[in-house]
Amino acid sequence: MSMTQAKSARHIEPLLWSLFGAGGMAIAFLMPAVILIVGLLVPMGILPAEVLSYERLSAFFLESWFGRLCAFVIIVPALWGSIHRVYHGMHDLQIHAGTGIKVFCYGSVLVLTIATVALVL
Amino acid sequence: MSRRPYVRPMPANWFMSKPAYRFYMVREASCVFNLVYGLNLFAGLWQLTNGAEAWAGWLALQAHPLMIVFALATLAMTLLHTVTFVEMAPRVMPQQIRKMIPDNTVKAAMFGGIAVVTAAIIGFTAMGAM
Amino acid sequence: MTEQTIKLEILRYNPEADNEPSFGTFEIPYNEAWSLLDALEYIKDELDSSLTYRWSCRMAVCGSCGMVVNGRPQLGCETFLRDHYPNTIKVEPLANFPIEKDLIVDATGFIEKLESVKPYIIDAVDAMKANPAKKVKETPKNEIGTYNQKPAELGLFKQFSMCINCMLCYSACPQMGLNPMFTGPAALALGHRYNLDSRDHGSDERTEVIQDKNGVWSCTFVGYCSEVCPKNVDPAAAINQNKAQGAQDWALSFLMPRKGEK
Ligand code: SF4
Ligand code: FES
Repeated sequence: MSMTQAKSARHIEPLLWSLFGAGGMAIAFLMPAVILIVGLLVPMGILPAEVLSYERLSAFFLESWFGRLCAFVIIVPALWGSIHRVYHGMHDLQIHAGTGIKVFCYGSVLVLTIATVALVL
Repeated sequence: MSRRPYVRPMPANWFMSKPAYRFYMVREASCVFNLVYGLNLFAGLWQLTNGAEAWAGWLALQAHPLMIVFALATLAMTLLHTVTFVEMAPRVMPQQIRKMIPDNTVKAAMFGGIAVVTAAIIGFTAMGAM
Repeated sequence: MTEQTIKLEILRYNPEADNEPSFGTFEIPYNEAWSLLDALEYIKDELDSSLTYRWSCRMAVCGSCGMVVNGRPQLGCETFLRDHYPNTIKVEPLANFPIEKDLIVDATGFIEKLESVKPYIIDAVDAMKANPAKKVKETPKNEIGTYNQKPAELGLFKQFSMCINCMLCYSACPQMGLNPMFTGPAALALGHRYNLDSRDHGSDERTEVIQDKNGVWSCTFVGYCSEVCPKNVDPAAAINQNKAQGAQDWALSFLMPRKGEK
C-alpha cells in the first residue's frame, strides 16, 4: 500500500464525505422536483391525484428496475448527506458528541439504506 | 517583560456574531429539513409496499396543512442548498480541470442540468394524468 | 469650522497589568486619506505610546497588520477611515489566537502549522530518500541545473502561492476556534501549492498532515476564509480539493490494495 493510501485509510471521514457529496448532489438535483410534486402540487390539487396513484407508483418503484433505482437514489443519498451535516452541526454548536452518537447517527442511516433496498426488492 | 497570552474562549453563540456565520448556519440547517423529508419519503416507500390503503393514508398525510407548510419550508431550504452546493462544487474539482473549464461554465451546466431534471421529473409524473 | 474627528474602540490587553482585555476609546482627527494603520500610529504618537500593534510594509504585502475591524478580519494598512467615517471603528486582535498584547497575537502555532506541511520543494531524490520503496520519475533539469516550468504548470498553483501569511483566514474560520488543533486554511493551501508544483514529488510526505482529522477533515466549507483573504488565495478551495483527492485515494486503497506495494 502506498503511503498516501495507508495514511488516509486510517479514518473513514473520506468515505463519509463522499457519501455527503453524493447526497448533496442528489438533494440539489432531485429534491426540488420531488418536494414540488409530492409535497405541494398534488396535495394542493394543482396536479391530479392520479399521478401518484397506488397502481402507477407501485408498478414503477416496486416492479421496474429503473423505478427501484430511482427510489434508492431519491431517498438514500439524501439521508447520508443530511446526517453528515447534522453530525458536524453538533460540533459547530459545541455539543461534543462521542463515538456512540456518531455510530448512532451514521448507523441509523446505514439501517435505513438496507431497509430501502429491502423494501424495493 | 513577562508573557501572559490571553486566550479568548469561543462564545457558545459564535455563529450569531457575523452575517457570514449566520448564513453558514442556515445553509447547514437545511439538512435538518432534508433529513426529515427523506424520512418522510422513506415512510412513503414503506407504505407503498403495504398496499393501496396504506399508500392512500400516507398521501393524505402529505395533504395535511402543517405538512404543506413543512414542504414549503423544505423546498425553500432545498433551493438554498442547491444554490450553495452549485456555488461550491467547481471549487472542489481538481485544479487541473478548473484550469480547462471555467467555474462559471460548470455552474451554468449544473443549474441547467437541475432545471432539465426537474422539468423531466415533473413532466414524467404529470403525463400519468393524461 | 471645528475639526472632524473619528472614534476608535480598540481592544487593549496589557499582560503585566490586566487580567482580561477591555476596550479603550480614542478620538482622533479624521483624515480621509488615512489608513487604519495611520490612525493607530497617530494614537501611539500623540495619545498613548503603549498601544501595541504589528506592521511593516504598509502596502498589503508583508502580512503583519492583520486585525479584526468591526468584526471582519482585515489588513490595517488596507482599511481606510473613509470607509467607516463617521461611524466608530472597532478594532480587535485577530480571533482564534492568544493575545500577546493589545493587537498583537501569538503566531507560534500558526508558524508550526505552516512548517508541518513541508512548504518547500521535495525533489525526486528527497522523495526517494523518504520512501525508498517509491519509484519517482525525476523532473528533468535544464543546462544550468534548475527546472524549467511552463506557464500552464505555474498557473496550476500560482493562486495558492500568493499567500502573505497574514492569518486573516485563521481569524475568519470558526472551525479554528472550535478545534485549535486544526491545521487551518493558509497552511493547507500552502501544502496544496507544493503538491501542485510540477517540480515537486513530496505529496506523499504531506499526506499525513493534510489528510489527518485535524487536517482538511476538520473543515466544513464555511468559506469565510476565502472571503476575507486579501490575496484571493481561496484556501477553502484548496482544502476541499484535498478532500476530494483524499476520498479518491481512500477508495483506491480498497480497489487496488496492492498499488505501489513493493
Ligand atoms: S490564505 Fe489569504 S487570508 Fe490566509 S494567511 Fe494567506 S493571504 Fe492571509
Ligand atoms: S503592513 Fe504589511 S500587510 Fe499591512
